[in-house]
Amino acid sequence: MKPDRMRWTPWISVGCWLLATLASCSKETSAEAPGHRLDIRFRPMADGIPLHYGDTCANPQGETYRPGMFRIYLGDFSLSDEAGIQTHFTGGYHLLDAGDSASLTVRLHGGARPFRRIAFQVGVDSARNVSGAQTGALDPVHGMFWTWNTGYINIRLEGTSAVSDGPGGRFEYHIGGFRSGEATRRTVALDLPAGQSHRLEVDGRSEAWVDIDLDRFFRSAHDLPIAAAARVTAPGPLAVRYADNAARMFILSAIVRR
Amino acid sequence: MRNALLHTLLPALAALAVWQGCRKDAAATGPATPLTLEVPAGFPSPQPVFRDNPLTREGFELGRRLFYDGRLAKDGTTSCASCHQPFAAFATFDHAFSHGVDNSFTTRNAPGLFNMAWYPELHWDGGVNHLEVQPLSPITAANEMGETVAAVLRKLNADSRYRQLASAAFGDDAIDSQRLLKALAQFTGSLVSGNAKYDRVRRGTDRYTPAEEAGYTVFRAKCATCHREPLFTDHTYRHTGLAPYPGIDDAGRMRITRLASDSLRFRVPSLRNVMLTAPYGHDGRFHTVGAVIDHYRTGVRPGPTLDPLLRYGLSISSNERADLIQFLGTLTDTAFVRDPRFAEPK
Repeated sequence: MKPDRMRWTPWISVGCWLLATLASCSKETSAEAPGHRLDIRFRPMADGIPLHYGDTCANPQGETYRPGMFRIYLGDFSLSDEAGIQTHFTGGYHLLDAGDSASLTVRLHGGARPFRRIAFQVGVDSARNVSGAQTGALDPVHGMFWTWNTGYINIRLEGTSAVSDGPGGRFEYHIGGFRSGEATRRTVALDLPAGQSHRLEVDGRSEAWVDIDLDRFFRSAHDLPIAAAARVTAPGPLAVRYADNAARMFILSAIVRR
Repeated sequence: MRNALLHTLLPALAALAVWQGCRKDAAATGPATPLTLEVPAGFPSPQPVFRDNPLTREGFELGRRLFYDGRLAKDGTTSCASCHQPFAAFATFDHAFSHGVDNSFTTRNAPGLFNMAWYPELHWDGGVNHLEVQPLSPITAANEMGETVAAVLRKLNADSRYRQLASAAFGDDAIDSQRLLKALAQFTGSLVSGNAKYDRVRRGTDRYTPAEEAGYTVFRAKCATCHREPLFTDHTYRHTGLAPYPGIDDAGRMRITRLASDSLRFRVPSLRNVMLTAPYGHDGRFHTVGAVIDHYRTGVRPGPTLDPLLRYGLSISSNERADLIQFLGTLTDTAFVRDPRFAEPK
């Protein structure tokens, strides 16, 4: 299956312009709205290949490890057109789990305007961290919630590595924290190549292929080898640095029509 | 005239009868009966704990049954009420540390449960920011109930009685974690204690003895800054000069904020029902109220985060000590601990 890279009609109809002019700067679209479908297919990657629990891989620091769990909260998806006008999606939160392929696709029903940017938040907003029992993707039954120090774990990566000083070589990165100064929620904006945009067809379906590169979790904004810290299980400065790295894990590799 | 009345009244009555019949059919999934949180006279406004969780008789009753149900624990017998006993104002009677599953010990003294609708944060270290999510901590802690939320939900959903109660409270019979937690919050948030002798004196329907009156004067001079009326706590965290127990080394509030300035700070506990909640202190090291007072008189250990108000301890004479204890006795709310609404359901 070869992706049809960035194929779209380059011109924009007068009608679309009219629509864009009439619409407000920011528009709410329900995830239930029909047509104009965009599936964002996330693919967790490690060491250049798709991530599989239990596989041995190496991080950029050359440390070998076996991932055992990778989960991440995404939400607040939006598409932006060339004028920067955003369409927001109110589908709530998505919990991506590398071990559950069904969780790796986020379906958006967008508008007719061509978009050139896909944006979303990594992590749960502070209001949901202080408003009591939540449901759906935010149900604490998913194991992404600190019970003793209320708050969501935004990113959870666990596994084993010979360089970890943990029992049995275990490492655990539970990245969360919402209070000011230790917030770990991050905005990710993925742009199409310069000058390009993509229009969703009324009855069609497009797919955006987004890689989540775990290599960048260990080294991108900060150099965070397993040997230096094999456990992060509370908010704080270290969690903030992992969150900085996590925001850089996402790579838009292709947009294809189905 | 009479005919006209009959002609309008009879069909109306018939319609009412049919409507009542319909209501009965719909009773299993009908709207729940609203309840109002009772706010004792003189209390401040509560926290908005029921803003997204409308208080109803059915929700409260579901929460009450859950509170007393040992199936929330791995061993099937350790319930919320095992460590929060009604006769101890919902603290653990006579235990410094409560017992969890598998003969385990908790590391902090179980506090009494009342007036939690007024608490901005819960736990000795304030680590829990909403009443609804508090039960997740004891349910999942290995040294408390040792269970997973998923397993609790499996047990509850397999019980037809719980499904009926959920249906009455929430409109359908599925129990997810949100309903479990909201129902529990309806029960625990409704535990209001505001009818002690102290409250009756404030309302002018009772009078202190001379010793209680003298004790109240001492209390206001020496204790009321932190144990602020009428909740008898100011919701702050303070280091009161207790050396940490070796082996537990509980850092208190610092565990939550990671600030060195919060080292060894713990919640100021309410003194309501204090005569029922022995032993005292975050680690239950004091067996009597007198021992706590003596700590403040002579036992405060210095330290960098010691509360400035306690730098020189508290100067309380032996007579004042005796009077103070008399006053603290007026904070016992017998009606609260015997309230049949809060007792184990039959």
